[in-house]
Order: sequence, then structure tokens, then C-alpha cells
Amino acid sequence: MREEEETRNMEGRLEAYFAAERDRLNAPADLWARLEPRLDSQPRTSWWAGLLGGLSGARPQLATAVAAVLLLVGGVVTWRVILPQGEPAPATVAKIESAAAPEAAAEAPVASGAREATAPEAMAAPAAAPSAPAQTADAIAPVAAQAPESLEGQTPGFPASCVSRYLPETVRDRAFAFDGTVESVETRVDPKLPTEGSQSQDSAWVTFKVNQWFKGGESPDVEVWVDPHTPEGGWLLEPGVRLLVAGEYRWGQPPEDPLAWGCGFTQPYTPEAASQWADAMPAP
Amino acid sequence: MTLGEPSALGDAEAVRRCQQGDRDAFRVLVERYGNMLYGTAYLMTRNHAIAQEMVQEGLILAWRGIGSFRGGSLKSWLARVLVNRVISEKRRVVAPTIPLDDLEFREPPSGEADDPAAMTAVRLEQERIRGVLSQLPDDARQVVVLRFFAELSVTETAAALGVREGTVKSRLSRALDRLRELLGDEEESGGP
Repeated sequence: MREEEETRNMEGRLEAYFAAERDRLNAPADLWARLEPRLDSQPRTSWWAGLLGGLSGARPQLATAVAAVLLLVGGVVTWRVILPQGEPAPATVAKIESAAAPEAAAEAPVASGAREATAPEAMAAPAAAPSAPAQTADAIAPVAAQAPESLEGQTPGFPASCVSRYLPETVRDRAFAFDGTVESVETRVDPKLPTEGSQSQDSAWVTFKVNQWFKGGESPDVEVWVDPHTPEGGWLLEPGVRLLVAGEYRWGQPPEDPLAWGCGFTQPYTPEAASQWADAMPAP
Repeated sequence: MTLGEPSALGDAEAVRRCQQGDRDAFRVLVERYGNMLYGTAYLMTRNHAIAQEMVQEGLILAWRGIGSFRGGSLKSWLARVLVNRVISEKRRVVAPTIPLDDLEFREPPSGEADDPAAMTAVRLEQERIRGVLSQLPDDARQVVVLRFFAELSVTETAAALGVREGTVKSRLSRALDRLRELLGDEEESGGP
């Protein structure tokens, strides 16, 4: 009883203290004037959100229905075009010949405009992606795109869903690695993912502001698939979060579909880990 | 929309307009939540210059990412973007010890200036609480600031920090216990 009273008293003192702080702590009067020149001309609205937003003012249910039909049709068409019947679904463990990337591909246009303007085809055309790594690497398809039970050659001592043990030294085997701050997150469906089984197709399409490239790119911004279902340690995927990100190209050729790997290859930024990555991948 | 009547524009409508690229709508949100965000950033960093930069960067991120806002409390979403940015910055930069900003004389609330005893009591209380708050660990101080300064509910605080409501409640309970202890010690010793 006495403890409850003390708690209420403490809360009252804090409320009075912070009420005075609210009177005192005001944003600069010229906040908007400072901010406005730094804003992009358009927010990076996902194309489907824009569609829903544009239609929903008039008839929300119709808008939702139209968007759902478009998504379904677009997904089916894309699936048929990209993976004709009879062609096997992407292998669980795939070899990536990253040296085959053409120069032009590494200079893909910056994404947001094209991404907003086009339908599902645009999902497979990320831009501002890391430039192609110079070496040929035997890389293994990312963990997020595969069923753990189908993996072979697991090393004991780390989760079965991980195909490679994370060490600062093994990050350099990935196609790209950078220190980046999340700028925006969209949920997208990768139309190239197989639909069989219970595996979820939705992934996060994340735009990063790159603070430092360790390997595989130079662009100040990059867009990367991140599987939102497998972040270890409960770290957040939200604007403002700073991460160390390493991964591979999801379906083969850079710069198409870069995918952040889990299992420690993508992790919250710490100066210590960033320093280890820098040591493992010294700038040329 | 005219900026002379910003309160007429609700959060949901403002967000919808922002998603279509309407900067005036975003300005309404900046004016509505700017003080809350700035105060929160300041109370987490104890540095006016860093807080100003964090608020600007947080709002830039919010503008870019507003397409991913899926409803709910805009205030807690904005707070979350800001808190993420501040936490990232604090990992990168060693926090300054005692910024000069904190040594500024604070004007007493209006009406109390005529009563020197009341003014002194208020100042002492402010300084005591400010002092003990600075001794809380970061995660406890974040919860206290979001609950009592930003006036977020437990649910909104949980959303802003990306933790469960139970975690907010337990952190808050521990923070209040610790504050009581620290204030008790100070009051027994007659400080500050």
C-alpha cells in the first residue's frame, strides 16, 4: 500500500518535472526552414501504397479489390514469364558466377523513380545496387530463400538454417558488405520465390544510406532484400536503424536482387564489428 | 489546405497526403510533433546541437519512409524513428559528459518569480530530478522520457521502442524504484 503511494508520488513528481521541460524544450523556430531543403522531392512511397492511397479516397473497398486483383494477375504473369513451366525452381544451393556481371549492370539507374512507376516487373530491377565484385566466388544461395532441411554440408555448432559460419573473415567471401542506415522499408513479394510449401514469400525491400562500403559497391544508397522473418537477436528493421549488412545476389547476376544474409552476416552496427569488417576487407 | 489551420488536418489525412508527396502536410506534422521530438532527443542526448541534428535526420527518414507507415499511432512511429536514430548515434559517438547546455540558468515558471522561496523549491526539485534521471541506464531513461515527457501510452512506448508492453512496464517499474532510491538518498543527505 505504502509502496503504491510512493510510486504515485514519484510519478507525480516526474509529471511536474516533465511538464516544465515541455515548456522549456522547444524545437528551433526555423526547424522547417532547415529541414525543407533536405527533403527528397517525393517520399519513397511503395507503388502499391500509392495506388491504394490514390484510390481509397473515393471507394476504399473498390480500391482494395482492384489492388488485390492487380497483385494477383501481376504475380501470376511475372511467374509465368520468368519461370516457364518445366523449368526447375531456383536451386536451394546455387552457384553464383558474380564475375560475369556486365559493366552496364553495375551502373543501373537509381531506383526510387523507376520502382514507383512500374508494376511487379520492377521488383526484379533494383538500382543503386552494389557494383559487381571483381572476383569469381563460389557462393551459396542465401539462407532466407531456402528450406533449412534441404541444406547439405552443415558445419556443426551453428544453426541448421545457416549455410556459412559467420566470422569477420568470412564476410569478405560475400559479394557485398557495407555499413548502412535504414532509410525506408517496404514489404514486397519476390515473384521469383517458389510458392510451394509453407515458406512465406514476403520480404522487406530496404533502402539503406551507406555510411561505408567494405566490399562490392560505391553508391551512397542501396536497396536490398532483407528477410524480416529471420533477424537474429530481435533487432529492428526500421528507418534510422544502423546495420552492418553483407550478402549475395539472390538469383544470380549482380546487381540484380541483392539479399542481406542473416546468421550474423547482417547485424546491428557496433564500432567493434565495423572495425573487424574493415580489417577483414581493407580498402584497395 | 492552408497552413493557417493546421489543426484541421488529422494525422491520418496528413499521412495520406504526405504519401502523395504533399510537403505542406508534412510541415503540419513537423509543427505538431517537432517539440515532442526535439525534447525527447534532447533528454536522451543532453546536448542541444546533437538533438537538433537528430530531429532533422529523424524527420528526413520519416519523410522518406512514410510510405511504409501502416496506421496506428503516428506519434509513436515518429518517436520510434527518432529513438532508432538517437540510439545509432549514441553507439557511434561517445556521449559528452556535462554539456554546457545543462548549466544554463533556468527561468522559473511564470507566477513563481514573485515568491523567492517557491522559486528556490522548484529549482531544487528540478535539479534533483534532472540529476537522478541522468543516473538511470539508457533503456530506463528512454522509457521514462517517452512515458512522462512525450506522454506516450504504454502501448505506444512499446511500439516506439520495439519491445513488448510487459518490457515497458517492468523497465518503468524498475526506473521508478531506482529514482525513488536515488531521490531518497539525496534528500537524506540534503543535496544538491
